[in-house]
Amino acid sequence: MPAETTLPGDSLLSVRDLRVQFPTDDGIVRSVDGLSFDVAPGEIVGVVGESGSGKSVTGQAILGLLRRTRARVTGEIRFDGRDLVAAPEAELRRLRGAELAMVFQDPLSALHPYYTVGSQVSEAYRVHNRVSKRAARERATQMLDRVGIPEPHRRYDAYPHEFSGGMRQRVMIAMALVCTPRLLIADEPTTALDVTVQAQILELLKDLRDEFGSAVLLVTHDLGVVAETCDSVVVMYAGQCVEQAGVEDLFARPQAPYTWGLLGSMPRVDQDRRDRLAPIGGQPPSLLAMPPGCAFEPRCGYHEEVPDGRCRTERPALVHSGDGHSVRCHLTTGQRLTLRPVTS
Amino acid sequence: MTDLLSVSDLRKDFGGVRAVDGVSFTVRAGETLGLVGESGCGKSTTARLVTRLLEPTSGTVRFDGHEISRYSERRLRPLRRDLQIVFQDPIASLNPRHTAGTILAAPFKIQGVRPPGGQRAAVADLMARVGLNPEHYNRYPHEFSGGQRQRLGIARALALRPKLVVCDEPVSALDASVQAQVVNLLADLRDEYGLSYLFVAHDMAVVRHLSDRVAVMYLGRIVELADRDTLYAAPRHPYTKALLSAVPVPDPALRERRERVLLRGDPPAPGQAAVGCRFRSRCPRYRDDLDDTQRDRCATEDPQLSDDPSGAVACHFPSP
Amino acid sequence: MLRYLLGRIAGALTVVVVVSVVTFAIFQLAPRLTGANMAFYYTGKATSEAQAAAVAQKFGFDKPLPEQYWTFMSGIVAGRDLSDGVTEVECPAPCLGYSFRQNRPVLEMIGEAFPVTLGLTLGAAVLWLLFGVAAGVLSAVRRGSVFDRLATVVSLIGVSVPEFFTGMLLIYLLTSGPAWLRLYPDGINYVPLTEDPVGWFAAMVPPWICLALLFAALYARLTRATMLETMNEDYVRTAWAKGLPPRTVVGRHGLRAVLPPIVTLVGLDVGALLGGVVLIETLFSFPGLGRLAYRAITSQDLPVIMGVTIVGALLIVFANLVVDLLYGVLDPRVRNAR
Repeated sequence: MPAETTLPGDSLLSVRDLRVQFPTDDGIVRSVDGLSFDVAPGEIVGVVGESGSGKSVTGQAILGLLRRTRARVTGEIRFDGRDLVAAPEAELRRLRGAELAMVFQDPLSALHPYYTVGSQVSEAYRVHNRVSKRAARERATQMLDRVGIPEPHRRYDAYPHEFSGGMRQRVMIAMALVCTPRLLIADEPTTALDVTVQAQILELLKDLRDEFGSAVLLVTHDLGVVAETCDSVVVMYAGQCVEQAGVEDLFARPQAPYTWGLLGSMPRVDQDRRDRLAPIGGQPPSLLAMPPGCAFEPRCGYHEEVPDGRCRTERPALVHSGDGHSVRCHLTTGQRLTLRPVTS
Repeated sequence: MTDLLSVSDLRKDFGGVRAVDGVSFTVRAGETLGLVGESGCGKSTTARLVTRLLEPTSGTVRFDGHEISRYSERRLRPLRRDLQIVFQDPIASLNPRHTAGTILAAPFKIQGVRPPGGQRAAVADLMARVGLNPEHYNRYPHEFSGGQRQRLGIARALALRPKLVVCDEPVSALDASVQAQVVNLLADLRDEYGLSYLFVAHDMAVVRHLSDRVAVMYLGRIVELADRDTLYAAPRHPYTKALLSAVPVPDPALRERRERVLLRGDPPAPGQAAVGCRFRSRCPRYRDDLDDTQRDRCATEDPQLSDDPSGAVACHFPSP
Repeated sequence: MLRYLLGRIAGALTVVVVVSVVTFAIFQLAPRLTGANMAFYYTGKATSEAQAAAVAQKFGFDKPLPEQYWTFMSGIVAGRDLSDGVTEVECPAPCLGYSFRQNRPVLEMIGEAFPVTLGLTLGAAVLWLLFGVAAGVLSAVRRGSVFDRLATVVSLIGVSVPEFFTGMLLIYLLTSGPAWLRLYPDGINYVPLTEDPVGWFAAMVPPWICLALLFAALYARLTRATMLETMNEDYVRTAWAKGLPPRTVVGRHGLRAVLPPIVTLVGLDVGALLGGVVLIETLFSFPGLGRLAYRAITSQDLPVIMGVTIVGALLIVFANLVVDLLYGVLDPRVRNAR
């Protein structure tokens, strides 16, 4: 399915039919199940989904961090022309930290408790650059300063536990960006933080993208964060991309019933919603036993609009519907226009 | 409306650290009061103090005509029928070795209530009411999903038709779609049974959706308390303003148009009592808009919550 | 850091005082409870009534206990004169007591025996750390491999086979086993390091192996378990994400986090062993603290037993202090928390 989304020539990262399977005692867990999307250079792409949607696993698969687990990764992850799934470990290691970097959800556990933050940042620099310790220290201090750590020269020698949650996440970001990678994968970078600190960190990510030109894959469960930060969005459900679009397009003209459901579930801080929220009924499907048809069909309120019960028997393909908007749904374009609930 | 719960000058110290520092508010019969704030602001401690899961260091808690802040557990027991709590983490608050049926029958047993039609029927009715399948009577908590477990927690709190339910972050551990189901359930149950809620949460949007009035906490104090529409439309305390503007809105069209107040730094951890306004170290108004005389006042004088009927605010220089 | 240090030292001193009081009290009480003759216990010799009275007078058995304790403690600082009822002896400071059986101050005997035990313990510790930790790390990194399974079996054997068995087997094989293994035809005899370093080393090797076998097995298991846990930590994932080579991830990030629990255990084990490796020393006839204590017990030489007990307790307290201080060095979170 190559011609589904944006042209591969434009993209820095191009994921095609990615599958991640974890063998367990109860069977094979299909965490990611045929995922395809693209990231253009310098673009902030939001990967949004609920727990178990496969969004975090996707980030780790791109970096090759699942190679040390029992997971089976297949499909294609093309970064700058190279296929990361097939690449030898040594090549991937040269890319990790240098071209592809990652920021994790909980900065306290993601930083080594026994090393100073400065040494951890400069270590990240020295792996990929043959420089003296002093030059690395200089560079790390500069980076700490850039991400907003006050008194970076002094704080270089402080340990992670001596920082607040927000400051720790700044350190993580400094560490990830110290080699100016072309793609930063941020896995729920603000979920563990308070909302006022979240706003600071998201602002920082946007600024750094502008300054360093790094593309960002922002993995999150929060559509609000996506709307504030991203250029385009991948909506994931049960290991698949159900919709990908530019951010304004997605929020103005959402096309997948799951996206409608997510938007309908959200109370808004900036406006009064009608009396009741419109949640999605039921629970996400078990990743051990996926329905043969559309993964969302059991919770979807629109499957009767599609003739012949196709939703139950036939898995819809991710189809390009113009303007870089793709959707995985059996509803016709016309049906989606008339059926879409008015959310705001 | 009568005051069902009336809290006055409530304080709680944990070994020299003042977690709650002089909090006063009321919850009227039939209303929902939202209590919001960031981590470490004392909102969860307040929830535990008013339900007397913690003993206050000082201050009074008047519930339904009883001053319960010094009541013994024995004297509290009959009142617990009317005063219930729902916790954030449903799995930690449900005994893993008890079935749903046992968990939901416990309130009846403890209070010695014989529901008409028998306990079993009452439990089945309760399960149906919160959207659980009564046939799952014999299932254990781990056999339910996160959302279902929270329904179980809510059912347990509602078993004896309480007057006030304190909800401590009841939906923050849940995924968006499930969170909305539980929010709707809480709203429906309130309408049906005429419940009052003290709704404690960090999510400003959920609080807006459920509350009649909202109190904003910062470092152990209420800094602003107003009815919902006033507070969200025209916040007066600089912290409330910053908090509201920091919440991401799922509408990229508003990205540029919204006025944003970025605070510097993290919310501070509670500590010893300080001099002056405790928000001034992060206050954008203090930093940018005030002259030296005004700043001096912030630095020396602790602002008290005003007694304005339209909305109380603890700031020397609030927005109009 | 200074506050942490001072706090730990003050704590250790308190424990030392408590230990000395308790030891003193036990050895005061024991003869009274068994109804035996105090003079016998303290001199280790049968005494006539007149001698016993002289001993009692010299030792001050009729004085109140706190005063006796004080005399004992001040003897450590100032030395004291003692008598077995026949001869008067001077026990020079620091005086931990005087063995009338051996006609020597206790401290002198301990001073002679301690280097033997020290050499045994430290040498064995180096061995078991080297092999135990390495095996544990390798097992964890190559979890489920042939090496891992083999190491698990070997360490299980090491843990469960008693040291006197391995010791006796070793002595038999090395002194009277098959010719190619008979490396010590004249027996394994202790030689002081200062006299003959090579001979010392040669004599030490068998007991080292014997002692290290048990501990290496324990350490391998501990290291493997802690390492497996650590390699799943988020910060190790961060290290991989930086593009670090495996040996850096395992060595610098993984192993570093395993150090504090290992160091704690080493400190405590070495401290306990320094008080006397009773079984091994007796088995190999090495004149260490353990054998000294064993002989003192069998010959009911109370001053020696008491001296060894107090020194042993002091060593454990000291080891604990060292562990606490090392912990402060190794874990910055401990250092800052008061």
